[in-house]
Amino acid sequence: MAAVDVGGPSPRGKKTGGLRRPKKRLGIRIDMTPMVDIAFLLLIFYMVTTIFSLPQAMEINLPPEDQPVPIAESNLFTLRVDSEGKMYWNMGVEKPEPMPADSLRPILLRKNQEKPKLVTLIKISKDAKYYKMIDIVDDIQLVEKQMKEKNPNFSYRFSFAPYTDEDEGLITGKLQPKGGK
Amino acid sequence: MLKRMKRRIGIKIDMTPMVDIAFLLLIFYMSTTQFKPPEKKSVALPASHSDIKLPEKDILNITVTKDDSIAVDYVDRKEVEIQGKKERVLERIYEDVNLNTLAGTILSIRAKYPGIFVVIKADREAHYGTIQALMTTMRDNHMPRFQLVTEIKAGS
Repeated sequence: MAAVDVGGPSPRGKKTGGLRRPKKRLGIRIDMTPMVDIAFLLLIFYMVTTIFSLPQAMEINLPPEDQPVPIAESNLFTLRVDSEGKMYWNMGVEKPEPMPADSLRPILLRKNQEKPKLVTLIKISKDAKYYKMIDIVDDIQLVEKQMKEKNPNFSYRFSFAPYTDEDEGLITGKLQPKGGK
Repeated sequence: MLKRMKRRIGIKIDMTPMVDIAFLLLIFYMSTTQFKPPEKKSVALPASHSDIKLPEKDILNITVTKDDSIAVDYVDRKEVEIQGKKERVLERIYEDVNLNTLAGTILSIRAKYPGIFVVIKADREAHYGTIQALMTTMRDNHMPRFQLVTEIKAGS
């Protein structure tokens, strides 16, 4: 099986015409089983430890805080995530509405198509999980990609803002949205 | 016994091609493998569709674990004299920080390595408050650009 046959008496054992008689070679059989075993062990080791998919990255570019950008109320889309991870959205100073599951991307896309100057303000509760933020930014980036197909100059404007007690009050309905803020 | 035992035929399988393939695979894996940098703390990454590749070197990792503890790690280049010759030695340095000491630690590392990329590797179950505080610290220290490490999410 896994063995090499080195030399051995050749079928034509006649001498080849030289003066010296060729030495009679011994048939050497090397058992390759242990080597193959080790090779397979190494192979398994490398197959298990190798990483094919390097983790991907998401780039965040925070705007400087000391330059307030005036935004028209009608162009403001506010997205709130409460401590339990429930999402609420509203335009301008409307009352926050609960966001049905998996509908963030369609809503963002629709609103962006309606209002090209839309700015999304993201307010996430401190007690929410971090992946909520990644999911939102991911959806924003996908919407941006989709919008860019039609308008190559499109750039999604979004920002993070602290989640305050006022936001909590608006979500629970204890506070009514104030106009003209 | 009524039936007579069948005589077995000695079967010889030539394993040479299999071994050849095994060695080819072995060489392939040996040459392509990249080892994960050792992690002091395990982190379950969140998933996203983002396809930006992480830079391979000059990274300053900020790790946030599930229980909101923060650690910083980076590769330090040191020149060490070995037998009269100056040799470059790479060493990964881990530092446990908290939200108060984070800014100072990052600034001192950036002073040493100005072109270092800041990469935030946070557990998906970490609290957003920690990340928010981290981002605020970054912005206040004039580092508004950084990357969040995610895993690739399948599907659309």
